[in-house]
Amino acid sequence: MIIKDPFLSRRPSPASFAQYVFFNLKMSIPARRDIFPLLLGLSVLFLSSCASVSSVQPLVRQLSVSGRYDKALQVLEDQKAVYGSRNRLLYNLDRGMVLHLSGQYQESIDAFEKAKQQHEALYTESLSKIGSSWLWNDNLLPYRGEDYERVMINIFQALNFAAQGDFEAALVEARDVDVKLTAMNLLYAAEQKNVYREDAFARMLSGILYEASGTYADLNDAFISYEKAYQVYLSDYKVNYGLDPPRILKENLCTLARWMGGSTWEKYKDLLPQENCLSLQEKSQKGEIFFIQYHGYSPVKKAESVLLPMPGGYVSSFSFPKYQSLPYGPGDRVIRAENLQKDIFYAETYLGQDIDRIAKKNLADRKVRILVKGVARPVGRYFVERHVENETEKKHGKREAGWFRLLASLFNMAAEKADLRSWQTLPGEIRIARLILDPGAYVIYLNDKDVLAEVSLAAGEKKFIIFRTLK
Amino acid sequence: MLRFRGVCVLLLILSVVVLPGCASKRVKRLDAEDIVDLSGRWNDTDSRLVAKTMIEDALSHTWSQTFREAHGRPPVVVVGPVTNRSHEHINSDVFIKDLERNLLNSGKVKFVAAKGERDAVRDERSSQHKGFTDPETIKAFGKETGADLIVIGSMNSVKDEFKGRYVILYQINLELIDIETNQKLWIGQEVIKKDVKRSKYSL
Repeated sequence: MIIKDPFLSRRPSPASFAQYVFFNLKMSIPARRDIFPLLLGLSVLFLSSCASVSSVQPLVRQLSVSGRYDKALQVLEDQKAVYGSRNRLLYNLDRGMVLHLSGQYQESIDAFEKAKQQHEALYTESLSKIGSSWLWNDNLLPYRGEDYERVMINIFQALNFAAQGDFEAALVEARDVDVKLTAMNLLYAAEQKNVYREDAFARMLSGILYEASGTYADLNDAFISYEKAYQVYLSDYKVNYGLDPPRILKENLCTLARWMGGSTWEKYKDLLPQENCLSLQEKSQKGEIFFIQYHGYSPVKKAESVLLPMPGGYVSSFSFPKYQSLPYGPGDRVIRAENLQKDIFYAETYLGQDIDRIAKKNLADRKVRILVKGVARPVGRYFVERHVENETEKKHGKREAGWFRLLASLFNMAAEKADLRSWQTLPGEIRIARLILDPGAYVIYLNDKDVLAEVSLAAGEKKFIIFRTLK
Repeated sequence: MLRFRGVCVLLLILSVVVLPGCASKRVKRLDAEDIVDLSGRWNDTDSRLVAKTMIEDALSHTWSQTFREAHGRPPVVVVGPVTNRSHEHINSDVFIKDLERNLLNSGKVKFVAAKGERDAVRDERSSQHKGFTDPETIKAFGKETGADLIVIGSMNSVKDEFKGRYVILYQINLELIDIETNQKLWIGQEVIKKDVKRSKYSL
């Protein structure tokens, strides 16, 4: 009877308790052979608690794309524990995104700021967690996020600040993007093309923000950002995703090249017909409205599992994540602005960031590493289990060894789970449009039917309108 | 047999380890002068160092004396914008308030409310004129003191990062400008440099 155990009659320290458990386990093992299957069974039971975040995320995603932000935030609040300590980053990414979409910009800033700090803290990997991930699966590791997700945080943060009209703080994010992309670039050799190492959209957005700030130094930075964005669209986005530089980028690059003058202007003066290349002076008489459209779904990870029959009657499996696009429609693109005199102005949103394809490319880049780990894991387990089976047979007989084999195979199947975590509230695409308008009051419609916003615009003012579409 | 038992125990221990642990909280009081660097980002120590340098520098120069000799009174200063041109969100109020307090307490200058503070004061003054306040204590409009000098500044950063290591430099500039003549009377600068290493692995 445990209650008579003298050890438990006093308060044990954790260390002495562990010693006690270990000692008793050792003593009781020869007497109770069924302790081994029990241990394995317990391990499988514990493992089953890992997967639950995958059930909450689709719900949050669905609620956020259908515009039910309050409900999505409620679910996030209620299910915080389900995300758990390993997915704190994921939690803040989802929460920051829902808040951003719902227009609660300050709260979104706080959530994304937490996500940023968590990202930094996750640079240091825990060896014990890596060890357990080699034994079981990658779900035991904290979610560390992808490189492009780190940059997306800055993009949303910059837009959070810009939507509030705080361009000074938005520029802090633009500079942070530059630091991150520069550091990322250093990790790859110059000729290594097929990796995410630059972000044309983030560069373009940085340019827009620098231009909005308008000081001499900022205008110079705006030109540098536009030029970099233009180069990345041509050398990377066009090649990998079939994306041409958006028209806005060409127009802005042209304007800033004109401002720079000299050889810079010579280089870019034929980028657009002269009448489309406004000078900064001309632009300052007008107001600008930027439209940021989040459209569709980002792809979700699905598990591809392969059963591995091993020698000696063992069954193992190996599982790896693969991106699957979720279907969505082409989306409304046409934006109409109408002033009090019923003059009508049109703009069309243009795809600037293809998150769907960036995500897939990013995963493809890591595929070899995932596959190596995915194969090594079952093979390693097999050798350990085989050894244990032999030992069991010697000591306890064939029947026990058979039981062990069966349980080990069940354990193998239960333990091998692909890491399917991703930032699911991300849209599939970010599109951008811009209207340069005379100062005044405007009603903005999406596709002539839905009122997006009512805006009053002053000369030189820049406003951001952010909206989400699906179909 | 021993190895089998070892593997089983290891499995069980690991299973328990991966379950969420209990959170514990520790609170330790620190002196405001203590240096605690956690993330390598801009922190309270940096703000304090900037304030210290700027205050010492601002008080050691003769601009206030020169102004007093020319005008027969101490200069009136207003705090203008301190632009954040770094890649981190830095709250300049922390060191600006320190600077303001020390300059004011030294008796060498007078300060008037800055842009953001003025609105609150004006609201209060307006409300005194709404009929609730004793007429003898109502403060008149149009009596605000115009500042002679304005403090403006900028915060800049340069970060050089490679893998787990980065060197970061913050440069904070503050300038005191004569509002009437645009003459710069004082420029203070503090540079802070940090070398931050993060290890790739921990236990």
